[in-house]
Amino acid sequence: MSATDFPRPAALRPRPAMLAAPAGFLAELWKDKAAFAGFAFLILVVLVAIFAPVLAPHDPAAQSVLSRLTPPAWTERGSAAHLLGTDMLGRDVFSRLLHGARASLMVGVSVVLLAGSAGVALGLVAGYRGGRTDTVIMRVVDVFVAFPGLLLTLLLVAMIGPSTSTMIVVLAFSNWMIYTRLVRGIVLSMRATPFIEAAEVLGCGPGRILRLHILPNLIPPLLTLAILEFTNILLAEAALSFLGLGVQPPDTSWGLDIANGKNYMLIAWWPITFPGLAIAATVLSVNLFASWLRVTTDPAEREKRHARGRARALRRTSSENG
Amino acid sequence: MGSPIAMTRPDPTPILELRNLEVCFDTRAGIVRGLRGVSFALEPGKTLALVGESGSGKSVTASAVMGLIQLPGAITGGDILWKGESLLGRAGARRAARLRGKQMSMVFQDPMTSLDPLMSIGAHLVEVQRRHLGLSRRAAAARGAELLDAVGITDPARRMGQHPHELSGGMRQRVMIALAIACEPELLIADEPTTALDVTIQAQVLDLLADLQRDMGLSILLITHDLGVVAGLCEEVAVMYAGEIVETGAADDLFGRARHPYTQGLVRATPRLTDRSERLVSIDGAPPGLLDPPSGCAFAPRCPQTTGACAARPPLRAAPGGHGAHACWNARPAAWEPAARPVQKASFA
Amino acid sequence: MTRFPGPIRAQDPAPAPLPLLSVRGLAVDFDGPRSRIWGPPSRVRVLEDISFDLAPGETLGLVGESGSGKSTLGRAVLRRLPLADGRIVFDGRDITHLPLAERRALSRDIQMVFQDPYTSLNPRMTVLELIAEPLIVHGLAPGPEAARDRVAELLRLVNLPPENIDRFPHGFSGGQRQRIGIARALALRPKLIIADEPVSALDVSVRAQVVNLMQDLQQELGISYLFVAHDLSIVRHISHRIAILHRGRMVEMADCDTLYDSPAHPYTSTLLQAVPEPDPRHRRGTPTAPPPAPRMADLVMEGGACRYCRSCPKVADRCHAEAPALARQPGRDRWVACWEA
Repeated sequence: MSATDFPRPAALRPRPAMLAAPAGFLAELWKDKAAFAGFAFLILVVLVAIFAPVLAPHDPAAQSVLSRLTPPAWTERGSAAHLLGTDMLGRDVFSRLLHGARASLMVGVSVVLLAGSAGVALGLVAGYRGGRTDTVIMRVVDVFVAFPGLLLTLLLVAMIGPSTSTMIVVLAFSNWMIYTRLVRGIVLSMRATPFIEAAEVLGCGPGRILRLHILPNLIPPLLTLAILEFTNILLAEAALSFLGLGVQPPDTSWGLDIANGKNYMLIAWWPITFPGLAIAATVLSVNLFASWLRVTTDPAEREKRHARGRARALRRTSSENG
Repeated sequence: MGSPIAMTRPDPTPILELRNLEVCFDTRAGIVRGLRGVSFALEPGKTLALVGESGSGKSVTASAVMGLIQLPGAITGGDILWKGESLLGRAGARRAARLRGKQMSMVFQDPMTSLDPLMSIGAHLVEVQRRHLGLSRRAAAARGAELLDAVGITDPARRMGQHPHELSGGMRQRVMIALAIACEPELLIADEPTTALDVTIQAQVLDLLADLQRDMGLSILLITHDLGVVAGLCEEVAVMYAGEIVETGAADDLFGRARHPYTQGLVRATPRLTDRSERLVSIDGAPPGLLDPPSGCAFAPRCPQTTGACAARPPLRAAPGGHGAHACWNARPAAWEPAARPVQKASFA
Repeated sequence: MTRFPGPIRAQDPAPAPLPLLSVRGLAVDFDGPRSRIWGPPSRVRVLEDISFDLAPGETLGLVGESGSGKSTLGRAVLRRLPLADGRIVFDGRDITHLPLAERRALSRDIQMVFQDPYTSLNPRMTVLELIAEPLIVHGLAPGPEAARDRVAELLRLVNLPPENIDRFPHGFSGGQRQRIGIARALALRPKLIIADEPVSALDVSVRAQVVNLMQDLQQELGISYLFVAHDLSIVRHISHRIAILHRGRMVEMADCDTLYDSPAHPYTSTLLQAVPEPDPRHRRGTPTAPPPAPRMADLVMEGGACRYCRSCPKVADRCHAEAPALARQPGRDRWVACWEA
């Protein structure tokens, strides 16, 4: 057995501190009500996406000419069968909303994973190897960044043909650069830290250093970036689907629903409003949660937030007593 | 801890007096008690050294005086008096804002982080004088060059146009000192001013501070971990340990006649060139955490002469018949010996 | 006068033991400023003509101020830097030109202890993972249990309770962290440890713990140390011999007592006087005018003059014309690079 592939026993694996205490994590999150609400909404969206077939009262693709454009249940002409009404083909808006969450989340997560892993890998190599490798990778990044993203996407979709998987690949293709830039910058600054030099002096190879010493320290900033990127992808998915280049019928997505509903916007507000609200609420939730997460993964900021909270609590109790 | 211990004869009002100052840091792990009742008085024209190791609270003390305590820290008790008037509370804060930067200024350990890399040395000097002294640009520039000359910078006219990165570490620290004395302060707080400098440069900067102190009648509060630095510059010393002052006295007394076992250990652990012995004296263990400070004497676990009395926290008391004060129940001239070479350990196979 | 960099200790009266490390005429260049925007960077010589021997079980103190090249010298011996000139022989083997794979193997014999115990330990690894890492990398741990036992043994060796094995470094004080760093370096049983200012970041009361520990380990294990320091205060207690570096050149090398009691080079005297004396009963006069700090730009090769001539109190005409080489004083175990010594 060679030295480097010695299996890392379970006893030697580092424990991520963030995940060590889920109870503590929730308790800290609870103190920031906005972030907590955002987090709760995201959990809800994820659960809805997973259990959409069980939860949806109707088949999202089932058309019914008789009940076209039924308004939501609480309005005058509404029907109890269709909670959020029906669209111009008589499909149940609520069921489509639930199923649409699947497509949106699936595209968002796949693109972030795909673009993230490619971008991170390139960033690690560029930052650690330096020199000519770094120059070449970063010039490629520059070229990609300089190219108008939407144009590139449209061009590729037009070439390959629209479908959900095409959209995932294309969005990943035009969104990996930001990870590379972030990772390369951090790796460059980390290369100079003494504990990396110490690992090199001990005889660690580049693979081990990247995997065990550099990557774990990249997780907090990457997590925040990935979550924020997720909202971008969500919006891009909606835009592409709206343009007819993304999710194809009979599948549904929030963006596709908005596209379908736009022609009837003036006579029926509900087919377009609810998917729109879903997108807006998801993006907002992600941002609320991400900003909390950014502070939580920065030890100094985290202490300050804690102290501010304590100071507020003290003022409150003193004003109640006095 | 009672009233502060006056360190010399009851002279004029101290320029700076701390009374039982307490600072807490509200961290996620709990309340860290950074200062646990610190009292001292600095008389006009005197130099007081606050000596301690990392975590002893010496820098927190300086920050508290300069009003630099920020979240998660807060002053939770005691008082800071400037010439007898409090600097805490609403009225005190207004008074403090007028004093700081003008009558009271500070020199930090790392001059590079306190100088703006985009501003020339001259611009730094002009700005501070225009703001605090209301001088015209021309007058401020002329006086700035004089200040640089006063802190021993050669060719001040040329240096005025240079930027911080063009100067060596020692030069930068001289510039910091020039900035600190630009408004003719009465009190200069120097927080580890020579720690980042080479030894030969350190000697020059200490000489400079001593000269300024003599010529301008400055009062200096020197924060340091290095007893060698203290000896060259300061008349009075206060030794801090675990957020409190454990011994005060005249600098010259402290080295030969320290009463507190921690001070004695610190003196013996400071290497000196005249010492040929191979083994150094060391104080075993580490200072206690201030998250949950011991109720008794904080030094007891590391102390070679601890007794049952140490379970209660010793107050800072004036030494009988002498100068200074110490916080120890069993103070006596102690014997710290070099750590014995341990018995051969298990074979290193 | 005998020139030093001859055959290894050929002129020594008594046959000395074969040195563990032997450095001859070592020079290191760094990239300096570019003369033209697109042109190649100029070369700045940060170490020049460094020669010394280190015997097994010996400690050589390397003392110099910032810019003296003391840390660079340590890294050059570790073969982490390209050499511009010179030769390094370690344990009878020429390691001047080593391919990358062999350089990693060299880390079993030459290890390093770092200056800052706070940043040189990965905060996300436990004590066990930190100290077991060298064993795993070099295939010396047959399994997790064996690794654990070996780490516990190493912890005992550096006087840390083995119960701490699963804790993270942030729970430890500076002195304890530095002992973890030493245990890590010891894990591979090296013959030479390069200690790059191992105690300058520590509190005074703790420094002695670490220095005493390093001495004990040397006694027990016969390790050699290159002990880098920025002043002369603590090196005396651990070093057998001391070499003074000034702006990339060695200006004096002698055994401890000789160097402290009768410094030969004016720069050594300046360094000695600059160490602040805590005890007022032993205080000396104010130091003589110390040298201005060197800057990168000044280090670009500057003619033939002695690099200390600008701040030297004993400067003579010859010093401006010709740089003195490190030469052995007749009949003494002392090398000095000064015309006036």
